[in-house]
Amino acid sequence: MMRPGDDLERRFDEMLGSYREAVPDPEPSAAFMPKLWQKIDARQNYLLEWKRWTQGFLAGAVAASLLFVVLQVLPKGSADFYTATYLETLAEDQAPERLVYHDVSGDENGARRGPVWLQDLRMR
Amino acid sequence: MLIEFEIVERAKAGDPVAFNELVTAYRRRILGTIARMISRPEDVEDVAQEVFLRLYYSLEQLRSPEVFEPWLYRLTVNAALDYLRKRRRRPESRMADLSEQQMVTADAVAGAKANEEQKEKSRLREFVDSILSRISPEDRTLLMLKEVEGLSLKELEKVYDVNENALKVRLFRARQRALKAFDASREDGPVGKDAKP
Repeated sequence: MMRPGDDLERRFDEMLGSYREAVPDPEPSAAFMPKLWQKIDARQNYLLEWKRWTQGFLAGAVAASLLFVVLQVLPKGSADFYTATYLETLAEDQAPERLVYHDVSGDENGARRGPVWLQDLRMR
Repeated sequence: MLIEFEIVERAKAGDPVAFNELVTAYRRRILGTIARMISRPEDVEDVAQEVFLRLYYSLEQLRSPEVFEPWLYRLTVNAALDYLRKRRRRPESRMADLSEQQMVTADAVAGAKANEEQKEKSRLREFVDSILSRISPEDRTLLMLKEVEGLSLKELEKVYDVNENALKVRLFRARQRALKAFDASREDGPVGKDAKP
């Protein structure tokens, strides 16, 4: 005895069988192969472009790293400035404004005269 | 196999002539499988080209030429699934969704010269598409390969890379869901070989 579900399945299978006949294997168009190769080339170009960018970025990163290493090694050339002590630097300094303070320390007789500009004021 | 193993080996090594031969040998079969899976004649060639494009870039991963056909079917299933998922996200109005009046108008515009048999095939295609659109793209492709393409369980095992029992369960569930959708659609009218959709 046939159940209602069996009938449904039979009809479903028939429908799929008819569908197979209704949709045969289509013939490829004349442009199928040229379009396929165009797509392959386009993808290849994209991959090459991406590879080039990656390599460029990598080369830039390596160059930056090398530059950083070189900068770490080279600064020894200007080390004199930093190796002198504060007093040594002051002793070597011949800047004119220091002469003003030198005058404050006193004349040959030990009298305090004060800075030149102060003496000028007093004379007035 | 539609071609010799040696051609597969040559294509795998990067020979474009061998790859051309390979595509020429299989393109019609792949076009047919895709046409029945996606039910959109206008998009079939694009999806088939995507299959061969993926084949071109993955051929070097093929372990041996003996598994070439299941490999190609797997690529076909994946490309069809991608297409169907994309289409699900972007629903379009199809003939099955149109009213009787709209269908008559569309038929008149699109196929004034088409004969009755072609119209019937077109309606059947639309009807099957409307039923299969109610199940998941995964169920749809599996059912198509088994019930319409006629692949054996052994072949499907290789395509899906799962064991027979798991495959049987998946097939049973897919069929049940499709039958449910078919039954629901029959409430609108009888469908089958002896009844027009």
